[in-house]
Amino acid sequence: MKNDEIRARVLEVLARIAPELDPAELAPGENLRDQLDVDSMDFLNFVIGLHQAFGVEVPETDYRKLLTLDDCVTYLAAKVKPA
Amino acid sequence: MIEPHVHIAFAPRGAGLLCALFYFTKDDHVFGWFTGARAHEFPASFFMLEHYYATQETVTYRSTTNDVYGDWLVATHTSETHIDPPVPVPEPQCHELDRLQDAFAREWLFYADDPAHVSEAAALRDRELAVLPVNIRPRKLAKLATGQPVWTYSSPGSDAHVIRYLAKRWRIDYQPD
Repeated sequence: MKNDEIRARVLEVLARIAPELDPAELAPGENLRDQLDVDSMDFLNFVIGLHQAFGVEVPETDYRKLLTLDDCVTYLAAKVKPA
Repeated sequence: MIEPHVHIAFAPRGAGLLCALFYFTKDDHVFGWFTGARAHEFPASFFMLEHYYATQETVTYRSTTNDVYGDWLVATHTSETHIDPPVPVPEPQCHELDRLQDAFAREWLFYADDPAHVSEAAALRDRELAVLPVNIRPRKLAKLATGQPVWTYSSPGSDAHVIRYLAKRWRIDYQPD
């Protein structure tokens, strides 16, 4: 899966927990929680959404690797099996 | 993985926070915590809806105080029966409830008597919103749907039936539509 596809799918997951999300305004290198007011409950749902979308289980110890959109893409690119 | 759901009800004119609740599902059980207005008090309890997503009868357990490791009771439509220890909730779920409640209360709520939140109380007053012993944090108000007299928020994927079921058995004033 290409990074652009991963990014688009991450944004879809994010949009489910933060419907106010405007992808054009999201700074890919800045903290998602700060930009979207994502709280810890939302974040758990985000992780579950990633699992459903990519088949990747994210252990709690890896949550800190998903701080930004770019982080998510990098992390998932390394985990997603090639199509 | 735990998938927590949140439900908030807030009356902007007068009553303020009516209900704040989170829950998650494990197997066919539902575990969660709620607080809300009852007259001029804000009781808070943990709960377990045993076998809620099963064909067998659901048993509703509720903590008598805001302590997951404290005393519990069985609640029906009409009665409450205290039960002897141990806590009916399995230990892993007790731990998750404790952890999630801490995060949920910190992120969504503030207590009027907490000096650390004076500016948030002022922010509510500036918007002519009530400040009561337990309040929703002002920055969270943007998440609420404001088209009705009672503003509400339900996180995506939450099950309204759980809230309705619980509302028949809790001891707070709020009753969802």
